[in-house]
Amino acid sequence: MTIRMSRSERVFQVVNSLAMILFAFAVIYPFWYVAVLSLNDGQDAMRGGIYWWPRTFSLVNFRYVLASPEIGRAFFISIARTALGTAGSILFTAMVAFGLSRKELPGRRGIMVYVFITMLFGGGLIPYYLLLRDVHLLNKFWVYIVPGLFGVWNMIIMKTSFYEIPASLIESAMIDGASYPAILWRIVLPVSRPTLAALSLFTAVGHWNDWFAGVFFVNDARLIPLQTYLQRILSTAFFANMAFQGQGLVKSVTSGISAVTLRMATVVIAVAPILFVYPFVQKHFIKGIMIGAVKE
Amino acid sequence: MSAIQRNGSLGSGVSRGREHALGRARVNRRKLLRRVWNLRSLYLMVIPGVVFLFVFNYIPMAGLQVAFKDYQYKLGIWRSPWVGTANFEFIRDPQFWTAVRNTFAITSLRFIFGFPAPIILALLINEMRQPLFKRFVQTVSYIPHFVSWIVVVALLQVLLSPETGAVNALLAAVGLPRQFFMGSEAWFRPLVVLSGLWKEIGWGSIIYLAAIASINPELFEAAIVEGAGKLQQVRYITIPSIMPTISILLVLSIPGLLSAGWDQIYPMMTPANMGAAEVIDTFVLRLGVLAGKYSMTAAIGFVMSILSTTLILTVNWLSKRSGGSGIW
Repeated sequence: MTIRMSRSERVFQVVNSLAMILFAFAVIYPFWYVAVLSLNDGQDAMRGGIYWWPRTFSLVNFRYVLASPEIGRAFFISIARTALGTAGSILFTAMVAFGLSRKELPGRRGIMVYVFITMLFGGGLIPYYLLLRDVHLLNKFWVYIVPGLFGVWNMIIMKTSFYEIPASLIESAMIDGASYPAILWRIVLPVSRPTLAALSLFTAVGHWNDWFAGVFFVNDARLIPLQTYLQRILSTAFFANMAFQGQGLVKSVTSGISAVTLRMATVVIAVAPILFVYPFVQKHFIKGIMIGAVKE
Repeated sequence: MSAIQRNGSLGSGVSRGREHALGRARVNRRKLLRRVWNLRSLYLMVIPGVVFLFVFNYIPMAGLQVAFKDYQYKLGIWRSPWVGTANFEFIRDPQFWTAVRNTFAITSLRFIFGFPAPIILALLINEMRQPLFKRFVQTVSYIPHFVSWIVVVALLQVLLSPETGAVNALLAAVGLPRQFFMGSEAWFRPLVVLSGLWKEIGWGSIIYLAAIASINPELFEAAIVEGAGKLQQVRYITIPSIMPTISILLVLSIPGLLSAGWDQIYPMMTPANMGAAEVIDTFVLRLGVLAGKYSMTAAIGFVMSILSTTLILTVNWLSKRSGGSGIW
């Protein structure tokens, strides 16, 4: 485009570009800051003044954190729940969505109303908690998986996307004698891969980032996921850290760590998988949102 | 089915009509049962969803009765004694009303700032002329959405740390006093709103950008020919064109006004900022799940559920009334 910009338009472009640079900086810098602190010697970091680059580069924080069995366990729990929870949820929900997408199912309307009501009204946290207790899901690994198996929003999106599948595809399979499960597995799911990929992504992120269930539904320290572990070390150490700011923890005088830098190293470990996977999945979720949005 | 079968015998006697009707009903039921049997694999796929919702959604709805009972663990939900409205005494508790005030303050601020922000960002990003720079800003802006609130609070803690934090260093450099942000009640609400913006503004802008991108470019070309400036273009073309998107998202965000949520608030709570931080959700959380006062917190939950459903239905009805679209 070679349209000459007016003066005010040029000014606007400059201002806007500056604003966008500032915005991008505001997003990136906090992560950068955390990384810098985590790679700095703990005692040195307590003195302050580190903002752009490690002053005293040190990997001791990471070594300390990675050596602790708790974080390894928490990491494993997070991976397990994300993998199992996402796969289970997507497959379970897709199965139900497929059934409900078949117009020949008697009572379909009634079931849809039944489903929809749950989006309007709920019991709240306390009855839900009491239920979890009564079905003996509390304090077990499955409390992370089972309650998430069916997502009503996801089901609606999947059902709508299944409608779009050409009827001829399914009909010819039925003429060939395929059963409904076979149709789902061999035709519907492969064809719906973009939608399922986007929904899987969102579900996985939800699982990875959930800290709540581990805090309130689980007591066993061996069953907590990574974010819950992070929440614990953030909250208990927080004010203790404030108190010790000037003095330094006795242990860390010799070992080069401090509460702050240890926490930062843990944050890096908690965020790294997401940042690592992010570039690869970025193109998928844009499509996914569009599908969800257009169908609304 | 022939017309005569459907309408019953035309004439001779009601009894013959009724016999036909009964016979018809029996035949229909048998046909229905046969259809169900033929489609049993389909039902087997749907039933688990029905059961799931029954267990995890409908049973808790029934569990709301705890709001009217004195819940005792050994007796369970069904056998605990009824106490009428005794649990609703929380209305007298001043801490509850502090939580209510905080809740609405936070959700209102969140809405006032958080709803327009993604729209404005979308408008600004849309004006960017260098494609690589534009893509870069967009990609970067989505990242905060993908990290957990725990991580965000950790970021806040370091950035806002009084002695070592970057923000306070900046303040000190320009001569302003250092602030203990995370420990102050006054700063809590701004921090909640700002961190919420930081986390969601990029993600929220996606849908608006898509809507803007689908506007017919001829509209803009015509406007430019007519001499319309950028602001006028936005006001008369862009905004009206994306109004359907805006109104749907508006309707969807109204139910959020009642709930400040745990995800963001709880990690940010400290003993020092509790006065501004306690919201209804955390109040229920701490007194219910942590302290075990199930009856009272169930009563609070009951009220909130009723309010929330009423709000959703009202907003949906209003939206349809004024010509917009409802959620269904």
